[in-house]
Amino acid sequence: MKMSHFIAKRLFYSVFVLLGLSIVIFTMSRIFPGDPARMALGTLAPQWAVDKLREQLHLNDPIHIQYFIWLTNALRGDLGMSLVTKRPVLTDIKTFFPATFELVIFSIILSISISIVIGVTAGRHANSLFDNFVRIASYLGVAMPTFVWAIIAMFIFAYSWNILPALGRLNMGTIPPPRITGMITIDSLLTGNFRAFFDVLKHMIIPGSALAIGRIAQDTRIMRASIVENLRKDYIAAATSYGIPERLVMFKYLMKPSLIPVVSIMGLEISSSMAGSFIIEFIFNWPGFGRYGANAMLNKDLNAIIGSVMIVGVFFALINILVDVIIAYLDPRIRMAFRSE
Amino acid sequence: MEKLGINKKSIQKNWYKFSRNPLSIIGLTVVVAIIFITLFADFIAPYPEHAGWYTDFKNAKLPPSFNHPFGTDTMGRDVLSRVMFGFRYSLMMAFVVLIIVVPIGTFLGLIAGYYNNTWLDTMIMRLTDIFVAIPSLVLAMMISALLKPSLFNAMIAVTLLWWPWYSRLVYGISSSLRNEYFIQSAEMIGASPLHILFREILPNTLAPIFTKMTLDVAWVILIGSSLSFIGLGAQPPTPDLGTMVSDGYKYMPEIWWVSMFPSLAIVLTILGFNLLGDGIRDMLAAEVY
Amino acid sequence: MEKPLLDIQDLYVNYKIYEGTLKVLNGINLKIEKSEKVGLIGETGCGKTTTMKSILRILPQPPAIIPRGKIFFEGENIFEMDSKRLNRLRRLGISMIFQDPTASLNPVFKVGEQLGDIIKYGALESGESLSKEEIKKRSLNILKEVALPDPERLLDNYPIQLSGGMRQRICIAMALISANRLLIADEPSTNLDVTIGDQVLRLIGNIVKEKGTSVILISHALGAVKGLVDRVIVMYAGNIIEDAKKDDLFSNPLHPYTSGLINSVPKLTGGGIPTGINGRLPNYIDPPTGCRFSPRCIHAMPLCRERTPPMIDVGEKHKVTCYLFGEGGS
Repeated sequence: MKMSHFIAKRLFYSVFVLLGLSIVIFTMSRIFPGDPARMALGTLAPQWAVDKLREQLHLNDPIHIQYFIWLTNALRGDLGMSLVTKRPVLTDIKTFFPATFELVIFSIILSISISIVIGVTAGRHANSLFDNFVRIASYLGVAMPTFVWAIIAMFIFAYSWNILPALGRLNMGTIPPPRITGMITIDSLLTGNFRAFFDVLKHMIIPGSALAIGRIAQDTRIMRASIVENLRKDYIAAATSYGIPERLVMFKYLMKPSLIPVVSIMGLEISSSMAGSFIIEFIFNWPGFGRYGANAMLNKDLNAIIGSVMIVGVFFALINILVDVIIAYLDPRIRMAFRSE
Repeated sequence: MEKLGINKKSIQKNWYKFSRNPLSIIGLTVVVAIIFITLFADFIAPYPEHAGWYTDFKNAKLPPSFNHPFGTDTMGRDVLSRVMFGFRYSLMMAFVVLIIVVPIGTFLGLIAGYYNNTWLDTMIMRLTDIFVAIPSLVLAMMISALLKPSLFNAMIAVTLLWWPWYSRLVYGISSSLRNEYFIQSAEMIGASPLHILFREILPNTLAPIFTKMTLDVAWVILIGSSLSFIGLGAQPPTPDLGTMVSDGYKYMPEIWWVSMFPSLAIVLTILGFNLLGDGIRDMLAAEVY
Repeated sequence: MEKPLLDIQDLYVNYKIYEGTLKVLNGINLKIEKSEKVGLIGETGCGKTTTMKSILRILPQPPAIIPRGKIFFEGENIFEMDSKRLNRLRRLGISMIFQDPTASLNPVFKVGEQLGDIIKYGALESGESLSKEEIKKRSLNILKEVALPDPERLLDNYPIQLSGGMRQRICIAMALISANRLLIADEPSTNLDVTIGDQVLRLIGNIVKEKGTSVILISHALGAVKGLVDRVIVMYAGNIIEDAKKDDLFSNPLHPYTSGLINSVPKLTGGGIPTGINGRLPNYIDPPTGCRFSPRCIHAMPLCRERTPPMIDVGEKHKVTCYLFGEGGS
């Protein structure tokens, strides 16, 4: 089957999975104990206000009707109102998403570049002092929950040495650029506002690296293992024996097959970063989608919760498809498997 | 025991394979120590009553000292004792989750694999697809948020989203073994499906399951502590390690010990189980040489 | 007297693994002349590939260690060559056709790409800097030389798209570009169907005849080498135990192992099923002292267990490593 068929098939399948996901989430949100209207209005609110809100939110209707209403609205782009911000959920998400996007991209660039460089070096010099150090460090890195690393980073960099700012996205005095894409990095470059550009970068470093740490540890391991395994392969010995210069063997003939496992993990990377952003943005007060989602959950803001989780699901599905396409492009063996189906 | 092939020689051989990597031994030691602390916290903690409602503002926010090796927190409670009890909650959560998830997940995976390409397979596997469509942390946070946040509900949340991983693992093995000759021979001589599932296929899944379980303890603790940290898990005054970190981080860096020691405890626990899990994987791996 | 093309002197190779050190090669002595066709036979695991990889210096070090030994190629010590000389050797002098053609082709690169690089760097040695068209032209030529159909399309293919026989021919083509003096073929027909394997062997034979290249043909099957070579070397557990002209070896095998080997081949003309040789290859971590074949040898003497026998010359270019034929040096 051709690539376009493959993509179409996967998209179609993802739609079904997401639909199923929405049913599961929706059901959970309605059958779990606790009255969302009461929670939204607080314990002091009068009962008639709570009842009115329940009517408004259709909470008294049978569950399949509620789901149908939600689904039809969602497909038209209406994810309901947030009980916390009093704005449409979709608007909230659109407002906050770019901030998360630039943070996640930053952390992924960081994690990919560092882990490739370190992983390749460690793999090529397996069992050396450097390699052993890298292996132990990556064990530690994998064992640290994101929030622990965030706190340590905050502690070391912001307070002890006062180099990098700890909270927020821009300093108080900095004028942000006009909102074009919503990503301050891009917008400030587009409008020539370099002060804002450097300011936001400074603010991104700690949260971004906190987000990246777990990934760096894991990716380095995979890269290293991949290099070590491929170094043993006959085709590397063969290439050397035919007189191909060493640097070409290492950086061309070794690199390409070794990168494939790393790319295949990329989907997990990005989704993991999205999940991690819930915690990181919460700690660092970064005004992004993650903080919005975390607050929604703490405040039992039903529509926002469902909306956020579904958005994560949509992204995850899209990214997985993208990763599969990239791998097929890189590895001819998989491409051939498509053709023969 | 003889029937399972466990005799003196096989124990020696397995120990050899396990102990080849010194890191595995470290992992085992750490895990044993933590389990010990968990079981005997009531006796070895210097101030067991601090692990709950207790206030002593006179002695609050004391730095580490001989009396309080990990210092005291904002309510005057001894951090060391609370950390010891904290291990208990972490391990308890992992235990409860795995004890429910592993049998159910494995069973579903077994039957889905054995009856693969039938509606049973499709139904079960599509269900797992739904659960793995979002990162576990987000799903756990969501479920916890929809229930009233508490340690118990956090356990429910993690249990609900964890079983698909075992089903997928077992499904992979079960469906690939399904067409092997030894299964077909068993069917031909009239073995019941129950026999095939549990006496033929299941033993082949035990090694990966066992490895995954050990590594999963670390994962559950990681997710559990993240949930408590954010406030969607154990609530104060429960001395859950994640909750303790969140109590203290607003006071960083001045009163660093309140967050730092629980953090170290979390990292140590996860590290220990990771190393142990890797060691078990080495031990159960087929011989290469 | 002319210097031999290849002269392996007293080569010892160990492999360090976790359980201990594998003492794989136990003193290899071997000389090969220009335009000589040699067959190297031995059981799987007896050290044939290790020896060959040492020649090209593609043994992974670690875990391999070479505690002793010298290998001379046209008089130069290979182990002392710097990377420039070594590259020259690999690009012009010696090359190897690996055992498994699927494993020796990089799966994520097109055939044309891999072939092109080999040609490009080979030409560099002669001082030529080739253009893309030139490289392509030479690639097509070499593919034609190994009788591959539709070479244009082949250059654009990935190894996965080709059959086993085609892959093996491509490996031969690659080795040909970089082997003017010595070609090492490691079990070239083992992983192929019998008919294809036969064609491949014939192809190697023709090429070698045309270019006057020496060839070392490795196999674990006696029959495979019979047709192609003039001289046969038999290895066992890291030692060369017999070295003779082909006809001599088959009509008059001297070493107990060799005669056991030859007599193990079932004959179509009757005579019952042969008995084979008792025992197995020794453990390399703790090999037997003295002659490594002695535990299995029916003629073993106390002396055999004390010291490894030297290679004894029994005349007519026939050498044996066995105390049955003398005690002194060759």
